[in-house]
Amino acid sequence: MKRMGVAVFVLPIFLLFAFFFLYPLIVLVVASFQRGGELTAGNYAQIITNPQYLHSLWNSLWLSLSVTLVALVLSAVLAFFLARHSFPGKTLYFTLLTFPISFPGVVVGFMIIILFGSTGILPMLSELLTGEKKLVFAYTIAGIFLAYLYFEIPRIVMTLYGAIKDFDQTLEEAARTIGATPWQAIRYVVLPTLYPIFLSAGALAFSTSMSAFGTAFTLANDFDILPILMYNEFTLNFNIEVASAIAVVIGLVCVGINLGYRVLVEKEGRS
Amino acid sequence: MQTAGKALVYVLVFLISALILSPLLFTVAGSFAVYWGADMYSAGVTLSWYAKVFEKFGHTIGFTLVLAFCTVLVNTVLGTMAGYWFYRWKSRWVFVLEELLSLPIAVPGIAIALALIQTYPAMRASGALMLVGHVIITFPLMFRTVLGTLRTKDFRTLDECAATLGAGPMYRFFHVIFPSIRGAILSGAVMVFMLSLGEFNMNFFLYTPLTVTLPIGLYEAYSTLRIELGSAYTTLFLAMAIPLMYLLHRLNQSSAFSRNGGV
Amino acid sequence: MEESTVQSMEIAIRGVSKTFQDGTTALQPIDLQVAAGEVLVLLGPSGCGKSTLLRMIAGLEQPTAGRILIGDRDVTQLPPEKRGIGFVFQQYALFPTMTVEENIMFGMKLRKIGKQEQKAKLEELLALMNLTELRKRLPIQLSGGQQQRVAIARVLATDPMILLMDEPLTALDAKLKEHLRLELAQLFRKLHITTVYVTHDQTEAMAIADRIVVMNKGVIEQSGTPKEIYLKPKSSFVAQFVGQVNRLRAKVKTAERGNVLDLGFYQLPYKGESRAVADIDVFLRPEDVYLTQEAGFSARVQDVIFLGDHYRVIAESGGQKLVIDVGNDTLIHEGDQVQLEIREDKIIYA
Repeated sequence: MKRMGVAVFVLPIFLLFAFFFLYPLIVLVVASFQRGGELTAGNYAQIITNPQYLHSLWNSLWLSLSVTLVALVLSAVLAFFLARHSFPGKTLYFTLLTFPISFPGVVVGFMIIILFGSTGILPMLSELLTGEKKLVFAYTIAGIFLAYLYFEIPRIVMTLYGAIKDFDQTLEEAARTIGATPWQAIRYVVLPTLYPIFLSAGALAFSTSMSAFGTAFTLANDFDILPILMYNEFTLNFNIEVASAIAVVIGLVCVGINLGYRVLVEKEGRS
Repeated sequence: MQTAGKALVYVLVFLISALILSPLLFTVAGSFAVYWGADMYSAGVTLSWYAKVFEKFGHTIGFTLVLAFCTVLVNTVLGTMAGYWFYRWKSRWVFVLEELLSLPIAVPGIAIALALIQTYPAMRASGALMLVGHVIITFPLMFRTVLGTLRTKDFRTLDECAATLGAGPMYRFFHVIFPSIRGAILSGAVMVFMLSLGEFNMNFFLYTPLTVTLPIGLYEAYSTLRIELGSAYTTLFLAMAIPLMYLLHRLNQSSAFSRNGGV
Repeated sequence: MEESTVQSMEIAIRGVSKTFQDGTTALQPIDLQVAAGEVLVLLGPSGCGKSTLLRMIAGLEQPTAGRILIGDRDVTQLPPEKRGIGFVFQQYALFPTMTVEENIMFGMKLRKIGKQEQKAKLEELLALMNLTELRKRLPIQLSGGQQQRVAIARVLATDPMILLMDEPLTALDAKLKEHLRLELAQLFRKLHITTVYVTHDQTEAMAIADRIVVMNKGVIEQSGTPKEIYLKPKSSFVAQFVGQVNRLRAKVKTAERGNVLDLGFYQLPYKGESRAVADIDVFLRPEDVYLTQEAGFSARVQDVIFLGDHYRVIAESGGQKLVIDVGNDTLIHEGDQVQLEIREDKIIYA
């Protein structure tokens, strides 16, 4: 009787969920295996065999990976700095630094245009100083890399900061009294304890970068990464089946990374 | 060696801060300049860019707010209901179903958008499909915030206690549980609102000329119009997002929020 | 309290058992009758099924089999809110968003009692539980003892037909526990309300109970008055769980004038069930061993612990260890050789 009561309330939610989330995903996967009404894995084969598609896949992977690694290092420095120093206005400073979490990709792209666009701050500054307009790289791979750093760093700092702040400092102090330098204490005591957080932040950063669309699209709408390729297949080539296959690939990478790191952390936690 | 290390840390912190904060500063500054350039205010200060934004994009702001409000409304009801019943539900399937309902966080917005537009193309014109999309991707935020809060405190005992005092399930929810999770629902609502406000990827697949949202408007402004106008428009977005983000910090929920949303 | 309005009910538990979803059996089929107005204490170690039984009486758990009756009403299928019970939780479970008053009023508001009557009842309960000064406070502003008094007042406000209490004093510190234990015992005498009280603390059980039911591993070991449980434990589990006890190895031997219990260091007439020659274990409370001058047996003192109101002495005789309680004015030291005496009627055969 009690159980029925629960079902009556949860059932509509599951129905809506099935209707507007699960079923569309199934439609997407089915579409990705079709070409001209025929069942085929050709769309996926195309991603691996067609040089342009393969290039995009490759770009997406290495861009996401390199951005994640660089952002992890920089964010760790910033998070440690914030967790271990107190200065007036720190809360405000922290709030401002993490504020870009709320930005859509287009705004992130615009921030890079403001800095390195053709009328950006740094090119104008270089023109003023050297008489020559340099540093206009907003619309290149370097600009996209910086843009990705721009949205990753606040996200990772947010995750790391809490963990570092909550970390039991007596452990670090114990290491210091045994004779470790501050760096050694961090390297041998703090980092090994906090590494699951780094793993989690890294996994999140990687999948965010893999599926990022608006940021790159604002800077260059023909840059060869999977999300832009997917959009162009859909709108320019009207090739919804290939677009679906690309969406499935991106989705699988993201969900896979998400599950993978959790399995890893859980396994570590048990041993 | 140690001082060199310290100096490196300070340099890095400065560079990161400059990367993140300086463009924000210049965006706001540039939005008031008659002419964007090395000599920013030489031609004077103006509010005309803002007037132009309202003239060209005013409707996007209104539409986005309505969309965000509707998303919050739907998810406050659905998310709270789901969170509460999941909390009460004693079954070994709960954790599997919980993962399932949280899936929209992990699946990229562009994939969900492409799936929705193929499945329900008829719903696109009215903007209903956009609402559905926003509800789907923000639902886990509300659901997990409510469920998480319910799990941290011993609400089961409070609930049982109210039952032994003679209160039925509905009365228990509205008089015992709800007053205690109001904070969580508010946090969830703010997060849902912000996510909906800033959603671009999904909108870009689902919008029609009649359902242009603020981020879509921003994209149009950036790609076709002057940088001063883009700055003014962006500043308006910031003016909406900053108070909400500040509120989230005060509610200690910014970390939960950072795990969501596509860029 | 207006005792006339409180109509006490008896509780009948018929063949109730509980197996959880994961397959663990919390309770073997149990039959238990609680008389109207009786204070029954369920006593046992954690995991013995006592809390599960209580929660099933309340309707917070469903029994796997069996029936539960309150008065002559079968409540087995009823949700908790329809059973007319009062339940006091270990962690008090005060509603954090409501003041002391609002917490106490909660149940009354649900019962469509007249405003005037509600008000009077509230004042009466605030006075009874010494809460009048604290009426406007929120639960987080109260100490543990105060919170528990509010929880009890809140339950009494609904005029429950039966009162169920799940380790209500366990979360309190020792001093406060002792104080509230006495208060509760007095309250129960005043209220005459059928009460089932769960605890793992035997001192608490002794102080409060009309009858104690000792439980272990999902079955009832013994049911009886506090005196019966303490003086005549029926099983070695009950003997060892309730109070301090010495466990002694002994031999039953046949002699001319009936059987003899041979402890190795001492012999006593055997008073247990008739049986042939056998090795058995018997139990003896520390306060039932006396220091004497000449008779009895001799033992060597291994350790003396001062406990304020008495000494606890650990002695050894014939290879057996004996724990003895003696008055705090006794002159006794480690290494002493002492004469001890045991009375045959104090030996517990369980």
